Amino acid sequence: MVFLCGAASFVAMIPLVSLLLYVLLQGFKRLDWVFLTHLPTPVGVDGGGMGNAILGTITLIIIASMVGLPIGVFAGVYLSEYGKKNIFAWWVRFTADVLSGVPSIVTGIVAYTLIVKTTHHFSALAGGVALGFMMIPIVSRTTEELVKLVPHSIREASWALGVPRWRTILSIVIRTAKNGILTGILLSIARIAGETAPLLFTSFNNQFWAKGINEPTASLTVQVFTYAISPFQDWHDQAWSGALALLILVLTINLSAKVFFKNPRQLLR
Amino acid sequence: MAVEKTMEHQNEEKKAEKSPLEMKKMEVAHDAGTSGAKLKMEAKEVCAWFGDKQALYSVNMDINEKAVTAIIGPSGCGKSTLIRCFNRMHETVPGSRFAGDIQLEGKSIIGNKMDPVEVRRRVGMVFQKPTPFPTLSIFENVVVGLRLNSGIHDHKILEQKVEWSLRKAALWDEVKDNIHKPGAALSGGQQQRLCIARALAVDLEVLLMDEPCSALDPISTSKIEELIHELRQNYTIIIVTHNMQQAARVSQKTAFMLNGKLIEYDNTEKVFTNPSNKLTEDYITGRFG
Repeated sequence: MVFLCGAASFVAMIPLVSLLLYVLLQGFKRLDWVFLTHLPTPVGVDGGGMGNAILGTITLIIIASMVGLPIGVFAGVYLSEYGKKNIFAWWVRFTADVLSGVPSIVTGIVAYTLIVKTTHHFSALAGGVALGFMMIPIVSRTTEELVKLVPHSIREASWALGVPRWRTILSIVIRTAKNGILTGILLSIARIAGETAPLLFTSFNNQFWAKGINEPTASLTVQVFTYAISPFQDWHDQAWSGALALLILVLTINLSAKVFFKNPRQLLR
Repeated sequence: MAVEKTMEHQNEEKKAEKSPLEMKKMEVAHDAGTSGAKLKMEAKEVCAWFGDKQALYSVNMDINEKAVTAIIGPSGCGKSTLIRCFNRMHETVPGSRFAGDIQLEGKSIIGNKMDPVEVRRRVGMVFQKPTPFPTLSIFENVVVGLRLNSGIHDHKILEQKVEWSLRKAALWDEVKDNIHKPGAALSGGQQQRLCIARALAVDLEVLLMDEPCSALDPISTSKIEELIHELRQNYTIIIVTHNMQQAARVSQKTAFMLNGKLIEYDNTEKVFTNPSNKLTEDYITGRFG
């Protein structure tokens, strides 16, 4: 039995490990400082890079966080503090569950309809909003679970001091569950950093530095996609390096969430 | 005559067996009679329910100012429910109901006109399980009430308040060098004294203690009992305990409750030596509970 489980785990790890190794080998060649900071150059010209794509991904993450985090955290707090038995809370939970199952391209279409069509151009704002929609259910679920873990005695002790309920939630409960909420946020960021589909027709792409959030923006994922389906070998090599850069980004976020916030009990310290 | 003298002698011997500190405690505890004492809080016809189950049946109780009132009784008799009515924590339980009146210095604290938050700033509570806020340091724990309620952020004022509260709670000497360490790193008894300091820091008038020593070892328990003796000079204290000896040691008046009803309420000495009600006597002599 043990052997069977061990063998199954080993087999499951093979694709992951081989993927990491392969990307590392293919992408390592072109991953240098020039690559990370320079703009793309026309095919065949040396010195091209994905600097704008990296900046674009970071910009999109920031915009998505500004949309997704407040809604997600407060929804999570509402569900666990006020939403034990009322019908509205049931609907909120249901909506969040449905939203987390919606294909990412559909989320992209929604953002397209809401923002791109009304503003008549692609923008980082639209891309960020699409990613933000995807963050909401993840952050809300994690926050709800973590806030539920805070012992009721802590709340009572705070009420007994004469601290009103809303203040107790903000200053005591959330502060106690802070570590866990941060973990949930990091994990949601890692998830959206790797999304391509919703960006295809919201932030579109840009060969130059974007001059603001109302312009189309390059992002690592879309850039890798564009280069990978092109017929040029040079671009293929760059695509591998872009994929490696993306992988490093996502792995770093995931690992730091694991390392700094080790287990749920400790999440309440 | 000789017999009487022998008995007196025996009594004195018995008294001498107790340590001087215990003697003093007993004297101090029993001297405060109720004649002329001011009333701090009154409970009038208090009834409480959890859903459909009634937990308190028309309890009437007067609490004297600057005195310790103990409430004893077997598990489930409604002591905690009653004490939680005094600072309106009972209504925080979903499905709970309350009837009757509770007055603080003659003014009712029940009802929609009175903000429960205001009540709790005057009537504080210490729970059975010590609950220092885990992510805050000792210093932060003590001043959390000040910061959140009064919005005081001046560091000097806070430092003074911290020292004052910790001294009052007999914890200053033990923690003064570690005041920025996490509150949860203290021992159980120290944590409970930290919770008391935290309650004192908000300048309350009445301190409710719901079995504060149940989770503690005997040495911490005796430290907290000494603390209660000192606090009594400035605060009104109501303590729920299922340790009868503790009630006898610290309180001036004792209430005995059974099944949600107040059976007897009188001076501690009388309740423990010459109770009026047979049920009280049965409980005290250990026939049940």
